[in-house]
Amino acid sequence: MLALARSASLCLAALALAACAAEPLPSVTGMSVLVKLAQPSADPAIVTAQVGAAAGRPVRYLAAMSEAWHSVYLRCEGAADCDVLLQRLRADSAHIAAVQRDERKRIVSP
Amino acid sequence: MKSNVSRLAGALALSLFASLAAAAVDAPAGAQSARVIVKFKADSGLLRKQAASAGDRHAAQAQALAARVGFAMAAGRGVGENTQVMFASGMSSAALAERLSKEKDIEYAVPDRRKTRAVAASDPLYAAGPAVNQANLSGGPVAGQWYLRAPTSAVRSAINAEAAWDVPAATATPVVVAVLDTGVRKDHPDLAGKLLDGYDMVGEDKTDQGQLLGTFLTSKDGDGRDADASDMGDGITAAEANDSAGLFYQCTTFDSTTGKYLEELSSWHGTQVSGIIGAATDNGIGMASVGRERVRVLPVRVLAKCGGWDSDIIAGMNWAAGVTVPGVPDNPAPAKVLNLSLGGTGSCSAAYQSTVSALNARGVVVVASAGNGSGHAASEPANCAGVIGVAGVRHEGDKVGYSDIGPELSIAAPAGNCVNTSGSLPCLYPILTTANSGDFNPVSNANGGSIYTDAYNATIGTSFSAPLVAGTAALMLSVKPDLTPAQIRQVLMSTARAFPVYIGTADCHAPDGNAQSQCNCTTSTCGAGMLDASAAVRAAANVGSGGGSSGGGGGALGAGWLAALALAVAALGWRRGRQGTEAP
Repeated sequence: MLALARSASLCLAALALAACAAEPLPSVTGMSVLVKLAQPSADPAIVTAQVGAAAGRPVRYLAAMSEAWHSVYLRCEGAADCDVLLQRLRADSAHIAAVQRDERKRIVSP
Repeated sequence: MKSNVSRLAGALALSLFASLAAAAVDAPAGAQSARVIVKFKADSGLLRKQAASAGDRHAAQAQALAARVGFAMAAGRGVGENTQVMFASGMSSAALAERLSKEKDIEYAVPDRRKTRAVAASDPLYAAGPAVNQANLSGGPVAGQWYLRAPTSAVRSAINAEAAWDVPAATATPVVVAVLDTGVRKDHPDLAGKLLDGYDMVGEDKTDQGQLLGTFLTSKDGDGRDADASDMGDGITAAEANDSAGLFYQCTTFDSTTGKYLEELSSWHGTQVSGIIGAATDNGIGMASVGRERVRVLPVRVLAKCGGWDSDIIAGMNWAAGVTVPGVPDNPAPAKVLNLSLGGTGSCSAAYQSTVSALNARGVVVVASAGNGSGHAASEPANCAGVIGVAGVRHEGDKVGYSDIGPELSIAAPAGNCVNTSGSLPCLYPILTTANSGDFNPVSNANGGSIYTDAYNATIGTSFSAPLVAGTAALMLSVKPDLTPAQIRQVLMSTARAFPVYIGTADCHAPDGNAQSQCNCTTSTCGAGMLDASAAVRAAANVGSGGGSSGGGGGALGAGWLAALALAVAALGWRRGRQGTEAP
C-alpha cells in the first residue's frame, strides 16, 4: 500500500516535472529591492552588510533614495527563491524596517 | 469765515494725515482697516458745502461725523452727491457701516468692497491657437488655453486661473514647483527664464531583475545621476521595442494586427508639464501658465526610455523637497510643491507612503495624476494618503474616458479631450503646452525645435490635470506662504465646483477591474469636484485671518488707524495705476 502511494506520488511528481518542462524556464535571476533601514545610514557598506546579513546572500548596492531608504540588488534563482529572500528581509525587523521590490513607473498615454 | 474754517480743518486733517501716514511705518501688521461709502442726508448739518474744494469738503465732513460718533475717521474720495469714502481703524468695514447707519444724518453707509478685473494673459496662444490648417494637419486649438479661463455653460471645467491671478501675492519670492518627469528642454523660450537647475536621478541601465549593465541607453546622457535635468528624449524605435534581448523589449504598445510592438516617439512629457505650471506669461510669445511669474520650475529627471524606477523617483522626491540623498549634492532651492504626472498599478507601497508623509511633515505639497487606464483604480502614488490625487475631466466636466478614478483622489481638473475622434479632424479641447519637435532626439531651439502642442499634436491625459492643480497650489502659497499641505488640500476640495450631471450618462462607480469610460463624476470617484483656481486662491488668502474682523469699536488714534491710513495712501496711488481695482 505504502509502495503504491509512493509510486503514485512519484508519478505525480514526474507529471509535474513534465508540465514544468513545457513552460519557459524561470528567467528571474535577481531583483532590485528597496529597503528601509531601522537605523538610517548614508554608508553603502553598512547598507549592504545589514541587508546581506539578513538575506544570507551577497548584496550589491545600487543607489540611495534617502538616508533611510536604499535600493540594492539581490541574486535569486526564480520567483520562489526571490520571494523567500523578501520574507527573510521582512523577518529581520531589527535591522530592516521595510522592504519592497523596485517597480517601474510610466507616463501612460491615453 | 466758514470757508476759512473749512480750509483750516482741511489743512489740519491733511497735516495729521501726513504725519500719521509717516508714523504708520511702525504700525503692527494685521491692523484692521474699515472702509465704507457714506451718503449724508441732503439736509444734514454735517455737510460742508461751502468748502473751497472737494477734498476740503470731504475732510471736513469726515471730521464732523467723527466728532459725532466719537472715534477717528479719515476722508476718502467723493463718490457722488453728498457721498464719499471714509476710513476708520479697529473695526471691520461691516461694523463701521452698521455704526454709521444709525446716525440720523446718514442716508446710508455700506462697506466699500473690492471688485477685481480679470487679468487675461496677453500671450498669443492664450486666446486661440494658430489657425487650423486642415491640409497639412496643423494649428489650433481654436479654443486656445480654454482650460485656464473662466468656465462657461459650454466649457464647464475651465479652472478660472484668470481670476486667481488677480489676487495679489504676499511675497515677491517665487514658489518652487518640482516637476518629477522626463526632464525638460531648457532652451524653450517660454521656459528658459523660469527654470531652476534641477537634477537627473536616472542612473545606469539595469535589467528588470535589477542587474546593472554599465551602459546608459535609458538615460541617453552617458552617465548616471548628474546635475543636468535635460530631457534627452524617451522615444523607442520599433526595432528596440521588438528586440527580445534588448532593454526596451515590450516597452511600447503591442499591435495585435501585426504581432509587433509599435514605435513610440519621444513625449517631451516633462517639458509639457513644466509649461502648464510655469511657462513665462505676458511675455508676448507662446502660452500662459497657471503659476505665471509666481513660480519657478525645478526639473527633476526621474523618467526616461520605458519609464523610471521607484528608487529613482523617490530619490527625486526627497531631493526636490530638500531632503538629503546620499551621494547627491543637496538641493539649493527646495520645492514647496511636487508634481508627479506618472504612476503604476497597485496600492500605495510603504516606500511611497513614508516618503509622502515625511515630505508633508516638511510642508511640501505632493500632487499626482490618477492615471490613464480608463476607469481603473487610481495609480500609485496618486492613491497615497497625503497626496493630492487628480482625476481628469472633459471640457464639459464629466469624466474623460481614459481617466482612472478612486476614493483616494482629491479633485478633478481638465485633462484634454478631442470631441472629434477622427485623426484628420482637429482635437477641440487639448491642453496646449510647450514641447519639442524631435521624434527621438531633441531639436534645438535654434533649429526650430521649440514648439507648442496643438489640435493635431494634441496633449491629453491626466498627466496634464495634475499640473493645473500643482500650479494652483503654488498660487495659493504665493498669497499665503505658510499654508500646510493639509490646508491646501482642504481648501482645494472645499472650493471645488460641483460636478455636472448629464441625463443619459451613467454615474462613475467604484473601480471593479473593468474599464469605465466617460461617466458622470461623483465625489467618491473623481474627488471633491472640479478645480476652481480662483475660489481656491481667494479662500487661501483668508485662511487663518480670523474672518477679517477684529470686532470692537475703537475711538483712539491707535496703531491700527495709522496702518489703515498708510494703506489708504498707498492704495490711492496703486488704484490709479490699475484701472478701477480697489485698494486692499
